[in-house]
Amino acid sequence: MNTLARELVKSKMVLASIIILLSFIFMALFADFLAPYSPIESDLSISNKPPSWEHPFGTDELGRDILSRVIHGAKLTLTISFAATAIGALVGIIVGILSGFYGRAVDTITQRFTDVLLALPGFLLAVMFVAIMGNNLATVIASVALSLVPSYIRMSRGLTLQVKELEYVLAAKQLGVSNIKIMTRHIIPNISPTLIAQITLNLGTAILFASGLGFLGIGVPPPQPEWGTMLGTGRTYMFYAPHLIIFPGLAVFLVVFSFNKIGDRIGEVIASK
Amino acid sequence: MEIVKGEKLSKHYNIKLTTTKSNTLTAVSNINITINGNEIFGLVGESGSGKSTLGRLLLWLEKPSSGTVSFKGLDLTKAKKGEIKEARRKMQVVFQNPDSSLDPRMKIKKTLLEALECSHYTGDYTTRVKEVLEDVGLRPDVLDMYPHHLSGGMKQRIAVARAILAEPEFIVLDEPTSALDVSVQAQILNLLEKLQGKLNLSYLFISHSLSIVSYISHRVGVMYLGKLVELGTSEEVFGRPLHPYSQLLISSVPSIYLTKRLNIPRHNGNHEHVYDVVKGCKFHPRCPYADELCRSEEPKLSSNCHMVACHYAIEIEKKVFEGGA
Amino acid sequence: MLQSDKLLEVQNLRVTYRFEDKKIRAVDDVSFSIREGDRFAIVGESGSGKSTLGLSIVRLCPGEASGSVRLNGIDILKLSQEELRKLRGSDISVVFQDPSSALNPVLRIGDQLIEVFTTHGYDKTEAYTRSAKLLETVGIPEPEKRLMSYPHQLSGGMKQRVIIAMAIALNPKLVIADEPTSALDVTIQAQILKLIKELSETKKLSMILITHDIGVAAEVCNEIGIMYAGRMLEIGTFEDVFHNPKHPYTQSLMTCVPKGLKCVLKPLPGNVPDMSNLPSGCKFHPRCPYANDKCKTIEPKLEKADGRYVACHAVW
Repeated sequence: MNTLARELVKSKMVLASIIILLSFIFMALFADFLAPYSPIESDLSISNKPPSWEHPFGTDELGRDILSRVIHGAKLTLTISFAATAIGALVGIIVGILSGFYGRAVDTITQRFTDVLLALPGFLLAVMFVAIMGNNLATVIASVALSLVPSYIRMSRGLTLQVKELEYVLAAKQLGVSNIKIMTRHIIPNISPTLIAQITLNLGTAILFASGLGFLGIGVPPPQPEWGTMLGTGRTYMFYAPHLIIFPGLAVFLVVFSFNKIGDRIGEVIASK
Repeated sequence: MEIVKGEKLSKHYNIKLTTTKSNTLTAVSNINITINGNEIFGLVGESGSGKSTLGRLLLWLEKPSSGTVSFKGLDLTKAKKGEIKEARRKMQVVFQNPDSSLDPRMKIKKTLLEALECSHYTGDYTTRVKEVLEDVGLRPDVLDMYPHHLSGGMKQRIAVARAILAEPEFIVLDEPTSALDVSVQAQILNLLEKLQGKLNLSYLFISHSLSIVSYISHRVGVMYLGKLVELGTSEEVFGRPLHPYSQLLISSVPSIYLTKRLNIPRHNGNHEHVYDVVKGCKFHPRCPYADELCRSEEPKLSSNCHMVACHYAIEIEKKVFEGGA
Repeated sequence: MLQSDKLLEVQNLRVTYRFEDKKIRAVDDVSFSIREGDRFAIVGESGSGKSTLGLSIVRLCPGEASGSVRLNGIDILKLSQEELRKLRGSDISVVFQDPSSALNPVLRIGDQLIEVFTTHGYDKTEAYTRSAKLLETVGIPEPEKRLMSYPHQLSGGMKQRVIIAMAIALNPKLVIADEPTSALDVTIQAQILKLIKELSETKKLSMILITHDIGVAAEVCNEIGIMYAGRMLEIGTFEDVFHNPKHPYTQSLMTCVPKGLKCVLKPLPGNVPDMSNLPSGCKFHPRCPYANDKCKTIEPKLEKADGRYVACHAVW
């Protein structure tokens, strides 16, 4: 793990990405202290004001401070991203490993199920889920998690199939080591590097999905300051008040870009070993 | 006393071509094999002969399509789960590739302790591990290393140590020295021989190298396309090979002694890898003596001490060893 | 030996690889020569530098080479890329270990073989007849049918025959074969070795055979060079080196390989040395039963002794 960290810091681009991400996480954690105004209270007398000294990112159509909303939005967006990826990865990896390890009927059932899920684009799956279950924070997280599950199942199943035929796993089987121990001791540690790279990349994808839902108006409901929702409502005013979409858009771009850059690099480092 | 016995063992694989079509591939076909206590049984054959599959069937790492495997009289096809687990622990394995036979993310210590935990050993684990390390000729400072710190020969020694820690009675050695340099190969062979005597083990020694098998084995089986074509003591099989395939194999070994060669006719026929397309004797497309009988009817393994599966074994023996016409 | 009968003369060849900030000298100060018609075997274990040495002769090796490699007096190391391209194939050709990756899987055997001729100035019909004849020479039945086959339709032994055909297509003076039979089964190996030897005899081909198997070297070659840690330790005729070895390493190689029933194996202690961390003096001294203080400090040079060349302070 130490060598991985050292390899990551070697590239300036990746180092910059890590710093950007850490600052967004810092913003999210201390949003209440950092934000100059309330992200929710409106003041129609100052609606759609361009950036100024009082409001560095300007104000939106209801006169709310955009800087404060972007800072609070970090909290919401990163929560969705981490929670959805964690749930999606956990479910997908467990199902994938079991499916790959036991094979036969378990495998057939999960694989047909994943085929169905993969037949639909991930984002469409998320939209359908929210459409059925209604939109609030929990369903948005669940829908994004659901859209990520099939790729984790496929990936961890494939990796498990490779590792379980390796001689050290066969030797453990011959010794009489239990299946649970073989999975936790031998299989998971050996497939985890590849999965970690995938998880990092998916943190970015999860943000795009969540913002996409918000943009379509079926994400986290207003007045919550979610970046995608901000973009969606700001779209109406974008020609005469472009700051409404520039700043939340920039936030989405920076975070997703950073996650992708780091994920790519982790993948490269693992592949070179 | 017999330790492991395989009776009428066959293994077929289904190779899926499309969702509806599939091909059957026979890796092992109707083999009877007995390995006695304290015996090193050598198994030779070329790639695709099914020798590794036979080893895995005896270990119960793979289940036979038909036939039975018994360990010290216990029929594994009918045994209970617990009995099978106990029997399998007493049958250990060392694989060919030193790079994949140890978990790369586990320290050597953890790998060895895992084996010890599976045994019935009740004494102090650390002293036992050190004892076995000494047996395989390694110093205890390897315990805190990861496999990638070790050379191929050292990794193979660890793999042997892991097998021994489970307190086995029978070990399948699947090409244990093929990936090693010649100078290291001899070290491992000597080690395996020493341990066999010290711990009263039985080995199934699988190898494509005839010189190694002839050196280490008491009895030898020769496999060709899933069939056992010849079986006898090392002296019998290597000194007076009866099956035309064994003769071809033995005379093909490159050697620095160019003069001592069996005088056998050569046939440039190519390797037919797919078992199921050859009718009759599996070797007939490459055999210089083959005739109609060989093409239509498969010969059975004879029931002498020195067994051979060939219709014309007696005639060929005369021709090759007595210079008859 | 007269200057004129030497086909290839390698003098003080050194090959160095650079890894980041590390330098590894895979071949160090190797000199040997080959006469016309010679079959020279470079025998060594993994990491001995035998493949690096063989491939450096045709500059197919990424390392930096110094010294000289003269083919009929022309120094290959000093040739331009264009001259080198002409030399490869027409004067020197190479046969690699793995027959399945040496042929392009999406082209027919014929296309690949004919290309060898057409790139060297033959017209298509001439190239076709020559290709068919060539396949017959290397013992492939029904050559015209085989020209239409794709590589995956041939067995490993057949593929290696095709590769040998491509190597001898333009009647080179020297063929370098890098472990040509290591990927093959022993019965097929015997066929290929026989073919190589016959071709070399009938076509007066000189060759360098790189192998780890002393048996393979003995089957084919009349001159043997033993390599260890990037150095040549012993060079001589087949009889001298294999039946009366003088270097302790060569001697132990002979006792490491089981020779049939009831022989005694005397393994060498220790491992093949790590090329980035070589011992001082004679590179073999840590494993040598006869090593003394001189061996630990001064590296022995290859010197003539008892009809062959040996690099050892105490020639036995």
